[in-house]
Amino acid sequence: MIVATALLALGVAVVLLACAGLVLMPTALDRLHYASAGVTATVLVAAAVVVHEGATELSSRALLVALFSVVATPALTHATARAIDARGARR
Amino acid sequence: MNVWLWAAAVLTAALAAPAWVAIRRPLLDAIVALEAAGSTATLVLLLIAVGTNREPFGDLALVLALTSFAGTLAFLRFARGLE
Repeated sequence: MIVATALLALGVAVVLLACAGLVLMPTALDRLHYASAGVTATVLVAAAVVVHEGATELSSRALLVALFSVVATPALTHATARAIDARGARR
Repeated sequence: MNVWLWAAAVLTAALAAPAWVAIRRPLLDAIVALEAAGSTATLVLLLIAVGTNREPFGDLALVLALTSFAGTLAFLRFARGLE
């Protein structure tokens, strides 16, 4: 239980720091840097769920969410960075 | 309320940050905020499923992860025409 709570607290802390960065950074690319930190938080929270639940249907969903996030977030970040870059090139 | 639901409540409150960026900043900054909000909302649904001990709710988190990815890609596609 203590391991799960520690992982959960770490994941929530990562989200809160990423939200602070999202608001405080001046440009879209800087914001993107903090938005993509969400994948770390997702993996941490999924690990907390798996540690707490053991091998249940819910922990398999948590693992699928983490797996999809690990695969999709870099692709999405890349696509967004390209869009921001293209906007800069047009100006 | 257990620790999972408290975590879900904190993350729901944290959604105010991407909401502010999405409302007040330019279009591409708003799309970046949408990405951050999508991943945070996915975590909220997952935490509610664990906190209320309802296993089928875990599917909601998975579906939101998939649809927010597709939705953000669609927004990025249309952002070219909107600027």
